[in-house]
Amino acid sequence: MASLKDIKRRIGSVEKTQQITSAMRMVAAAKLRRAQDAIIAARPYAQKMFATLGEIGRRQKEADHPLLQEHAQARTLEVVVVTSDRGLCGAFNSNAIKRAEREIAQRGPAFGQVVLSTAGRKARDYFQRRREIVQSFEGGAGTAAAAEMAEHLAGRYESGEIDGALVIYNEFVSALTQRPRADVLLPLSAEREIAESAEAAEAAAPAESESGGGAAPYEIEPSARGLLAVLVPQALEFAIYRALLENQAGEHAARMAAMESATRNTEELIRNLTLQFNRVRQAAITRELVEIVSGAEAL
Amino acid sequence: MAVEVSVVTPEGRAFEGSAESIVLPGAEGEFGVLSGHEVFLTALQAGALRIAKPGGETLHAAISRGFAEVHGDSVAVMVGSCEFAHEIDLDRARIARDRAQRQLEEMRATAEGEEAYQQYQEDYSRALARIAASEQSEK
Repeated sequence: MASLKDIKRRIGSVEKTQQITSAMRMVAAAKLRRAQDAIIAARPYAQKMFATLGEIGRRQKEADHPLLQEHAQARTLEVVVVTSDRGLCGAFNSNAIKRAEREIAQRGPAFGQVVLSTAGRKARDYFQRRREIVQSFEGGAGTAAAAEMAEHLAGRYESGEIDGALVIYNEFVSALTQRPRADVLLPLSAEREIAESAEAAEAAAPAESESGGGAAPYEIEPSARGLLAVLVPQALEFAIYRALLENQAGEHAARMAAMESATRNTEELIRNLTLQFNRVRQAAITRELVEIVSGAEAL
Repeated sequence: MAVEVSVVTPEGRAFEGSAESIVLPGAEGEFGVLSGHEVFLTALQAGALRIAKPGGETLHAAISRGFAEVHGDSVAVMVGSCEFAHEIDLDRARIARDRAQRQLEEMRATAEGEEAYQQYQEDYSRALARIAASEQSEK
């Protein structure tokens, strides 16, 4: 049986752990709020961009941009796995990694070769020893990070090094649910992006749409083709930015949930330890009394 | 008559409100929009943006590549980034411009990869846009 002192020390240590987990929970909650705001802030941009892309797409049947064109031969697929930098967020990262492994197994055969790039430390750490990583990007959701990744992919696609690109990340569904998902990045498809953004916008806030009037006969300057040259890289960049944002919000939500249950577990642990502490104390008191009484009788 | 202007970036709405006029760095040269402008869609290059607000105040901002949709009495500007003049550090922008210029000249001499060249070109035009926006606002 543990001594009183041991149990006391144990309780003290569990209490310290509880302080840490509950502080982490609160920090995650604050960060989650900020990450959610960033997702909402990106919405008007997404709507406008995809609406315009759709308008041009309607007008021009041909995919007049190298990133929109499918390659004749599917040789190499690049899979971008997005995870967080830090752990302590439940199964969040391992869900994304598992999904990545599954996609590689499923889509791999159609391509000759699958290469990987990662964003966030957890994905890098996992795949480093298992597969070849073309490039690992810093974690964190910023437009600069998204631009860097978009440039990397676009350059490789246009030069023919890769014939397709996929991004795997956790979608932030709600504070309680994050769903791993895989989106095709390249070849970029205007219709697919529009459908997805419409779905996302509808789920969020139907009142947000303000396109008003709709099909106005545009005058396009300099040309639809020149505009596509600007729009298409922007759309790719944005698709990546969105994945990074979702990942970020999801990470904080997952950490919040994990820390909440950890805090609850420490409470339970403390309750049990306190009970044990009291029992041991009572037993010691009883033993002492018995000793005193029997000592007195012996006289 | 005012034009409704909204400047949107992936990070959120940078500006929203009515303006007397707006001047944008179009892909084929700077152009201005007043109320009643013809409906059109155009690409923008990195450069300085000017919004003349009804009170006589003028806002200056450096924008990156993007596009603008003009709808008669409303203008929607979609760009990757938009920095207002007061957020720009002019000295840093000048240093960045000089550095990018030097790198571009070196490249011209050695003829290295195209990717790096584009990167420097972009750095250069971004720095120029910042300088232009910041200098215009000081006048």
